[in-house]
This record gives sequence, structure tokens and C-alpha cells, in this order.
Amino acid sequence: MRNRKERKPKDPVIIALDVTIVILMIAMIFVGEKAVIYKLVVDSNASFAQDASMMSFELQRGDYAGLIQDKYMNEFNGNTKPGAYNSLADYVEASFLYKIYDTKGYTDRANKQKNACDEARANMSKLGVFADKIDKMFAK
Amino acid sequence: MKCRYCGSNLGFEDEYCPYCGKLNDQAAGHQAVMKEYRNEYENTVADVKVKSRKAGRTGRLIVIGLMLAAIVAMLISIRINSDFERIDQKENERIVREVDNNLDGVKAQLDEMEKNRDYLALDYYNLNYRLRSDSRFDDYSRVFTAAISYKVVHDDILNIMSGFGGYDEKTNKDWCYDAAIYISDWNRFAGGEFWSDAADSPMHAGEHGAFLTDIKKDTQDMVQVYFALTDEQASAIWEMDRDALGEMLYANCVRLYSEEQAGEPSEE
Repeated sequence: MRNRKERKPKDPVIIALDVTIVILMIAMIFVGEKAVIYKLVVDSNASFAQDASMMSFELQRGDYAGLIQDKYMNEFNGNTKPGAYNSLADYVEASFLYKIYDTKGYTDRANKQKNACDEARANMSKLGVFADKIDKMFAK
Repeated sequence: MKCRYCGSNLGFEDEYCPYCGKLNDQAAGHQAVMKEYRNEYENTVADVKVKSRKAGRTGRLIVIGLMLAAIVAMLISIRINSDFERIDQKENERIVREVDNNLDGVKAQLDEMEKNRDYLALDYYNLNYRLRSDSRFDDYSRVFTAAISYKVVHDDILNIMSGFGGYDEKTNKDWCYDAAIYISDWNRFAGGEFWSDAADSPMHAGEHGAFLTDIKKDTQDMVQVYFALTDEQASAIWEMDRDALGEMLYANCVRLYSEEQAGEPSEE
């Protein structure tokens, strides 16, 4: 047909450059992925302190030991941002000790942990639902 | 226009009259102008083609240059960030500087934790400032070891209770046997038997000695309560070999805790 557009022969240099661009794009994806992973590893190891999202992740997984570790590291590194999560970690720690002292009949130590639980619960705002779950766990 | 010979109507493109066949002089000028325009048009087309090709190549070369620069930058970033030894050394130097600048404060804080029997706090404080590898804190060596052992047993129990498998999907049995390792090794490492600690060693003297006695008793209480051991069983844990202890802890664990603990409620 006359109105069909004639195919112009493409410049071989441009074809070669286009192929190079595609290869470089693949290389960029591969190298970029590695660069991001290494950066994340370095950033996560830069300090033991953790943010609320990491603590939330640990909480979802039931990693209470990790939560307690993060609380201490936040404390030592001046990270007060994940306040509610730090309080929840306090709650887990105090509940754990309370059960021991209460069972063993160490009244003073048990009361101290009970007070720590109450104080932590007052500071954990929306995370109170997890405190209820922890109570059930320690009631077993 | 009209043919000057026969008067017929002619077009601008008619070089000869189609009726009388004579030359159409008037068309010559027009043809010359047309030719000039055509040449100009063809030159312009050729010029545009060359310029367009050049621009296409230049643009692509710029893109390739930028991509190469980005790749080089990322490779440098990988090179820097993958040198874990250097990063760790740098981090160590930072921590040592921090401890150097506040040595009295660190020691005071450590002593406070030791005095208050804040076992977990003490362990994480040691971890945060890498005090165990700092020779200035050698007297705390057994205190650190005991705190680490306490923390491991504590975490193993918490993981059993919450059903957390860790990042390598450990089972309750794994956690029980892990706790058994640290308890059965207590006397060797926290107690210093492995290093044949002298009775009057500064690592066991004064507050350190009192701390070591208390943490051992508190670990025993922790294991007794959470594994529902009798007093006799609890006091025997220190002398049991790790397999027998692991077996005993796991037997009670099976009775007390189901393998599939309830998961956490979703955060809303």
C-alpha cells in the first residue's frame, strides 16, 4: 500500500548504542540491588538501636527477646522514639520476672516487678492489646 | 499560460506544448525555480538526517555515560560497604573512643547494674560497649559470662513461651537443649573452672563474687519456675550433663507448652 510508512534503515551505531543501554540497565539493576543490600546491612549494624518499625516486626513474630534487646540498646544509645515499644518490652521483662518471684514467694521483688508492669502498661498506649496477650502467655 | 505558437492552455510543468509539440519557453524559468527549491529541500532533508543521527548518538552516549557513572558509584559503594572488617574496626574504634571519653561513667553504670542485679541490662551494656574485649574490664569477665548465660536461658524460655522459632526456625526442643548447654557449662565458664580461676581472683572477689552467687541462684529459680522443676531437680541442674538436662527440660516443656503457641494478634 502506498500510505504504509516506509521502514527506514536504522543507523547501526544507534542500534549498538541501544543494545549497550539495555545491557547497562541490566547491570544497573544487578549492581544496584547489591549496593542497596550492603547499605542496609551497614546501616543496620551501625548501631544496635532500633526504630519502631523493626520493633513492630519483632513483636509480630513473637520475638520478645529481640524486643527487650532493642529496648536496652535504644536506652544506651539515646533513642527514645519507639517509646510505646520500649514500654512493651519493659512489660515483658517485668512480667517474666514477676512470675518467678511470685511463684518463689519473693514478695518484695514480685511487688517491684508488678509496679514496673503497671508503669509500663500506662506508657504503651495503643500497644495495650499486646500486653493482654502477654498476660495470657504468662498465665499458662 | 498559453502556447505562443498554437494558443493552447499550458501548465507550469509542461516543457513542450501537448498540442503543437513546440517548446514552452515560459516553463523554463519556473522549472529552474522549482529545481532550486527541490535542491534546497533535499539538502535540508539530508541535513536534518545528519543532525538527527548525530543528536541520537549524542543523546545515547550521554545516557550511557550517566549509567556508567552510576554503576561505578554503586560499585564504589559496594566496595566500601562490603569491607566488613574495616567497618567493624571503625566501629570498634568509635566505641573505644566513647568508652575512653567516659570511662568513669561507664564503670559507674556497670557497677550500678551489677549492684542492682540487672542481669539483662548488664549483658546488653557489655554488648553495646564491647566491654568483654576491653582489657580494662577484665575483672568483670566472669560477671559478663554469667550475664550472657542468664540472658540466653532467659531468651530460650521466652521463645518457647511465645512460640518464636528464631530466624532458623528452631523448635522448643532446640531452645531446651540450648538452655541446657549454657546451664551445664555454667561452672566451667561463668564459674571459671575452665581457666582454673584462683579463689582469690579479682574476678570472683567482692561484689563480683556476690553477683555470681546471686545470678546463679536466680537462673536456677528461673529454670525451676518456667520448667516446673522440683527443688531437688532445680538444684541438680548445675551438675547434670547437657544431654540429660536437655532431655529433662524438654520433657517438662512438652507437658507445659504446646509447640504451636498462639501467634500475636495483628496490629490494627
